[in-house]
Amino acid sequence: MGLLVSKSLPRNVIRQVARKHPGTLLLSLVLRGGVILSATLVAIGLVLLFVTGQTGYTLDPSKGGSELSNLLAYHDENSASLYFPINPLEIWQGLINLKPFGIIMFGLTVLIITPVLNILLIALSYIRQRNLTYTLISLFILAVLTLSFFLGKAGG
Amino acid sequence: MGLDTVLVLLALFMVAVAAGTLGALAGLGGGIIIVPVLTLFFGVNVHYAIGASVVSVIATSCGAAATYIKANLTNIRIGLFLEMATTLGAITGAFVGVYLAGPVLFFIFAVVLGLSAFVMWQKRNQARPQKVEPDSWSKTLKLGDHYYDSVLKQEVAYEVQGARPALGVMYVAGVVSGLLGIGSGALKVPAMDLLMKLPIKVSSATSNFMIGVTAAASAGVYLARGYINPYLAAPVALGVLLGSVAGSWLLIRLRSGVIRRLFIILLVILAFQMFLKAFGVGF
Repeated sequence: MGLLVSKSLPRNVIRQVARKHPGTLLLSLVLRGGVILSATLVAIGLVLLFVTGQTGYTLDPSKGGSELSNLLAYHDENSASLYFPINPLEIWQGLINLKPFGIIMFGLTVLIITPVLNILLIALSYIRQRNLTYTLISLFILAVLTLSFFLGKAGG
Repeated sequence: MGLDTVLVLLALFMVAVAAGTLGALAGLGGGIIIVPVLTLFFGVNVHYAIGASVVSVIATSCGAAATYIKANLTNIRIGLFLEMATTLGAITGAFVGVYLAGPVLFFIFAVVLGLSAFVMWQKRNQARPQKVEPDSWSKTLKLGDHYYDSVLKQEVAYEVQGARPALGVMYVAGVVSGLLGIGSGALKVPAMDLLMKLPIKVSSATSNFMIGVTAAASAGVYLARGYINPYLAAPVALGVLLGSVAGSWLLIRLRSGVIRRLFIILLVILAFQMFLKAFGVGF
């Protein structure tokens, strides 16, 4: 879909838009950069998983041991011996220790944060323009996005 | 690592590529196909399937949104205004969804698949919207804007109406999105076309922008709950992303009429199978 638009839009129009709305170029850059960074991290994690044959985390032996093929048991939540990091600190530690699942989860987190970062940039630009209505609207969305992480945890 | 593990990862990746390609060709995301395929043919737990789908929805939406924003087709003000409703709906849906049993989710999914097929089957009105009288909310929020139409080769100004009813529909679209891990563009775009009278290109671009933010809200819940399983989400997200790039490349080289019809048939088949699965008729 995206390609189609860029193919059919003349370059001078894009340049014109960029001149009239300088912020949009940054937004577009952040979105694309986030997706590329995330995809690269996930791909590196998958390659490491293939090469080492390890997820980087010990699997619960009482639920089937450390055989990687047990990861296939995601059909049933309760019997799965699969372990992967969920909280930010654990994901970060997994990344710096180059654990395959740590790298993948960090990449996926980057992806989830990308739209949030975009809204944050939009909020900042409305604050700078002193546009109260849209500052409040974008802050409301940021609040809901932040709430989603805590809401997920709270329910346990 | 065992051969079976490698083969399953590869199979998941290939299926995700196919779903992403088809999704981009049809103008719907890959999410609407990937969850049925993972649950029906791979026997994946439905909550994990939804978690993986949510992530791939963010990837495809952000990729496309980057292009649309640069082309100024996205109406950011309308997007933000409606996202207040979609994000609230998404966390409602995701929060409720993790407690719902499989059969209930399969049934809702069957209904949404059927609805999407119907929306696709109805031809969208390509004509430029008639004179639109902006309502009070649209005026206060300055929702009207203009864009460069590459077919007409001129700037097109447009006004907006129906901001309030659209907000209600968007809450429902958000709930569906959070519940099922799909972008629910099939609900968002018609709402913007019919209620707000937006030009077709603006509603498509703005819907794309909103889908990423909405999915991020539900992804937060699914991530914290441990339903974003790297073993499943990694090949699926990469595959769908790659597939959507391929799909948008193919889109300008293939005749879309045939693809649309094939996609509608696929949606109906999947709807039927999800319906059967909801009632335990089985495979």
